[in-house]
Amino acid sequence: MKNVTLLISAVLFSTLYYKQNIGLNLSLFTLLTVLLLVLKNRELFKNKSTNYKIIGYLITGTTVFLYKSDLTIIANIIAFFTLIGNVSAHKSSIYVQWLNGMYTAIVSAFSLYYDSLNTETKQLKKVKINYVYWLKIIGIPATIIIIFINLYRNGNPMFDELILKIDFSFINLHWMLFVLLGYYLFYNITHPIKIEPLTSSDICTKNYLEKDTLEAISLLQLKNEKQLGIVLMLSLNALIIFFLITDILHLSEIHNMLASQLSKQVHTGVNALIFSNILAIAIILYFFRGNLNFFENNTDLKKLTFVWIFLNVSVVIITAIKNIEYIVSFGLTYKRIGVLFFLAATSIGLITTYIKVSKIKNLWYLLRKNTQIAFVILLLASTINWDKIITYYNINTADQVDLKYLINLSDNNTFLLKDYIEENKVDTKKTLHINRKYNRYMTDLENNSWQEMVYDNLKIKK
Amino acid sequence: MNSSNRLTPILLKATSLATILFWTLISTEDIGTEIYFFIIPSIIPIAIVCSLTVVITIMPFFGLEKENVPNNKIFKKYFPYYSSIAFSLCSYFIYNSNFEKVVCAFFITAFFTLMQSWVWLCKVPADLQKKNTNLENIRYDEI
Repeated sequence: MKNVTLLISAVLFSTLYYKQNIGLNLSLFTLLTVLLLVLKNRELFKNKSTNYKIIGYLITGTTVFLYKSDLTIIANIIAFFTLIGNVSAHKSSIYVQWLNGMYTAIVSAFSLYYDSLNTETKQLKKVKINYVYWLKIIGIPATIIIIFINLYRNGNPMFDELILKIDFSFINLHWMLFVLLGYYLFYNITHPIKIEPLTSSDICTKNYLEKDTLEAISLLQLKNEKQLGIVLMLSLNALIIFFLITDILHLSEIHNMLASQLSKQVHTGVNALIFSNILAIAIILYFFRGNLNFFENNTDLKKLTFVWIFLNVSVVIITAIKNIEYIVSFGLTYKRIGVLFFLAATSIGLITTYIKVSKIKNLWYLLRKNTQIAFVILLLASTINWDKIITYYNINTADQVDLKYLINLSDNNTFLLKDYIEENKVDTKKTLHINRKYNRYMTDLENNSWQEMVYDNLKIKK
Repeated sequence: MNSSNRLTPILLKATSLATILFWTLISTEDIGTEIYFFIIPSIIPIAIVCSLTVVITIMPFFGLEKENVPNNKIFKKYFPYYSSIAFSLCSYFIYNSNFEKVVCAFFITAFFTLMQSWVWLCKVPADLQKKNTNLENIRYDEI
């Protein structure tokens, strides 16, 4: 029964992907994978974290159909590996799940084959497979059915016509190889494996620091380290306050700036922010790596650290304001949205560092939480049709419209651009480019097979 | 366990597997029949590429470990990471070639041959397996 399910899935896999581009097929593959996993192990639904991963994976599958883009496809692949890894070991960290998911999906069959080779009992079992029996079970009925089909075809012209209509031309060696690949893939994902000892050691590693496990350090050394920390944090806080004051004063001049000046400001600001935040987190992690967390007189150092984190968040907010100002004046672009995402991620990084220090967590906690948040951000980002939003915002709200940039975006904004040139006066060269983009996209949509269908296919049918 | 003793037969098996896989994948493409005359001569470059890749990328893992470390431990320790990196690299080259048919055939062949080579290299010979099982049984009886 298990093999039949896998075989049907493999045939479906080949039907979905053989000589097809990405579209509805990836969404259906997502659904098929979830169904197969649940069929294989109904207990999966009882686990909360697996349910979240299933929902996330299904969402990315849907977004591929709604507005296919590189981002939605990448998010779908990462969600796939996460779900498979979660099935392998649901208690492990998300980055271990990625590794387990990838390992399972690509070579589970090889790993299991290797295990079976080295287990004597399984080798004996293998010898017992009765090939003659299977040949009889499949071969004899197949031969007899073929004979009878030929007999009936001679006896009934309608039956003959019907049989002739069945088109098996799509079945060739390449198609069969695709079926084989599908079988291999589905076999792998229904037989989850783990990377050991990585998975078990990850599960055993807790999120908090334990006093007993830390290396003993003298009181004098601790005091010296605390003093160094206080001096460093004090000077860093003074420096960042000075920087913030000048930056806030500078904010008032932002409206009078030229585009190139503002662009330079934002980019250098972001670069400085990257370095300062990495350095900030590294310094905090150094001081709060061990014994200092449990030192009774560490309140001053902790307070200074929290102030520094808060001030770093303020720098992030000011950079965000500059970036938003830049967007309002010159429109949305992927780079500018990327900066906003980076700033959001930085703030989250600083907040998790604050929790790490205040709740005495370890480095693994930071790594786990931040990768988890990055994964959620990726999933959320993939649910938005960015090309459409960028185009809609720029042609309706932005002070300046860079049509060349909008034309070079994916096909998701084609209909919006077409409407724009129909309602506004645009120079001939750009109108030509937009019309060319529109015609090419319409041809692509019309030529799409059902496997390659996207949501826009439904729009043009109306 | 010294796998280098069994290296030559394994390399021969890997070459055969790679040749069969590569030509099976290629034969499905719309290329002229005259290309099939190259099957036999192609064994030489395939053998060279196959042997070099196995010797350079897999064998060093056996050298990293002490001599008495069993093959299955080496397999469990390194194979997961090796396979993930190999898969990523092969996917990268396939994607970069814009899914060019010959490039796809080459890297798919390379990936599966390398994975199977790991299994062959780390497989514990049957006589050793029996010996180990007997030893375990003796230990168990003693307990």
